[in-house]
Amino acid sequence: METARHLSIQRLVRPLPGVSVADVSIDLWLRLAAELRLLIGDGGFLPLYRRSVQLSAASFPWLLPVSEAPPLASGDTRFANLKISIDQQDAREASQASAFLLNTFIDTLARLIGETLTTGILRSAWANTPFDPIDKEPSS
Amino acid sequence: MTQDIPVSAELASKLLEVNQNLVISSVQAQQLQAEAEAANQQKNDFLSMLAHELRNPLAPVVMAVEMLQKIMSAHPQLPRIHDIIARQVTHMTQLIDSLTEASRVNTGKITLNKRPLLLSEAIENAIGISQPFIDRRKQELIVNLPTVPIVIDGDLVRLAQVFSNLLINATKFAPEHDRIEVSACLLPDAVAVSVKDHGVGVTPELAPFIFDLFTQGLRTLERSQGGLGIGLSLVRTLTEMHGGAVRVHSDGEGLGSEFIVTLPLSSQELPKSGAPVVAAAQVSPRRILVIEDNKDINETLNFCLSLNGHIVTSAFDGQTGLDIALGNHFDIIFCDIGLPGMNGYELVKQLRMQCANPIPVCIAMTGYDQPDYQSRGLKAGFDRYLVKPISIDALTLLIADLYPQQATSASQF
Repeated sequence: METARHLSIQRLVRPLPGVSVADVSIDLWLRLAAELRLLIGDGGFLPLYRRSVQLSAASFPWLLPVSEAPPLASGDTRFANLKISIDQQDAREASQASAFLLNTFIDTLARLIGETLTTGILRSAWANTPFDPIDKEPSS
Repeated sequence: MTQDIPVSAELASKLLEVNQNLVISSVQAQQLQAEAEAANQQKNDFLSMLAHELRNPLAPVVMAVEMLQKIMSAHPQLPRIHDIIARQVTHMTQLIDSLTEASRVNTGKITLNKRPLLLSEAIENAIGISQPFIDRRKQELIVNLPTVPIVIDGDLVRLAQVFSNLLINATKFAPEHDRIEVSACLLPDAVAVSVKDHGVGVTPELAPFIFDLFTQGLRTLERSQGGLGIGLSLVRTLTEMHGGAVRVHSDGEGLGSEFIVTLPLSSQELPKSGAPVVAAAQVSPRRILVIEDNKDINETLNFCLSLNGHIVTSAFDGQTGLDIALGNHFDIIFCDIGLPGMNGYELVKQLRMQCANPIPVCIAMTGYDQPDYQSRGLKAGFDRYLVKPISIDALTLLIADLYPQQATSASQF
């Protein structure tokens, strides 16, 4: 079932003119990884991320598995294959896969540490983005 | 009011490590679960395929045994040879049926036709199924049911399967000449049925797994009846599908076993209806086309139907079968599904689109005994769906059912 959080993440990575979906997606991942580092460490983040990529690849088979790849400009190698994979797709497919992967990861995280803590982490990680996981009544 | 608890750097570091390890363990558990589910799926697919592949060679053997029965006087040894083959073929059919059932259970493809029925009816049917097994081991069956009618909501065939599986299980694990007891006890909203034997019993280590698929109990030296460890798994699944539960009690090895099935009582009344009267099959000759690529099945089917007076034509692939069907008039077409050139679904679809003559009754024959295959067959245009191995008696009854008390049409050709 799609929640407000899922929909908000879909909006974050939706295709926009002049904006690379891969760049937006990698930025969100870097921020999230940095936030989670304090809670579960890099050693906890990586298996969770690897498993999420593996699960998402069932729906988006072109997603490359997490492996050693040339470092990104940021020096982080964890998301290099993700960037390569997304860059090769059209914007719509790239957007759908990015949202699917983020939601798969965050759903698993929420099952582990609870929805409230997850939402708090996301808010902190993605401050200054339009991320808003609160279900709103439709405006009249 | 909350109070801030100072967290030392050392404690924070330990918590981080704990969290990290918890996440790693959780992901590993998910991974293992996914791998186990994939392996299970692979096993189910294999079971389904195995049952199908074993059904195909069995089909002509079943028919050949029936044909053998019709020429018993040809040689004095023939009745004995026939009985041996018939017994072993029956056993093989039961094993293959068990495999198919196991596959259905695993994939959740069993459906129930529930109605209010008498518990005694289900138990009587179960005894009917199990009696040959009891007789073979010279055992005594004692049945002790309450005198008041007990009405439950259930599928008569499946409930009979539950109790017959328990009875057959008891015959296997109890000594020869021993006693098997079936009794029922009324509870406030349910009935508890017990099947008790004095055989090898169940060890405490085995008891929690006794209803798991492919679990085998203690073996007796004299035990000659094999099994695949499917029966009790089916008992549990079918009982739970009826809203009930099953458990086992044993005082240990060599001290016998008691299986207790609890089923909820029905809140409905038993419908007042007479049992359907099955008329004796009176088969008049028909023009029949058999489309089947397995040469042995095709030839035996052709031979058996011809023996019954029908005019039978054979085709061994889809396209030839369609051409023959379109160019001639047939009353009935028996058609395999997995045919070379054109499969049975496509064949019957084309036949219905192109046939200028009255459309024959189209009967699918396949080794796949699963409801979705059946519904696909009916959707494609088949009128009936038969699962191999098909007995000649069943075919005779089916043809009699299709053409009850009518004048022959084949004789007019």
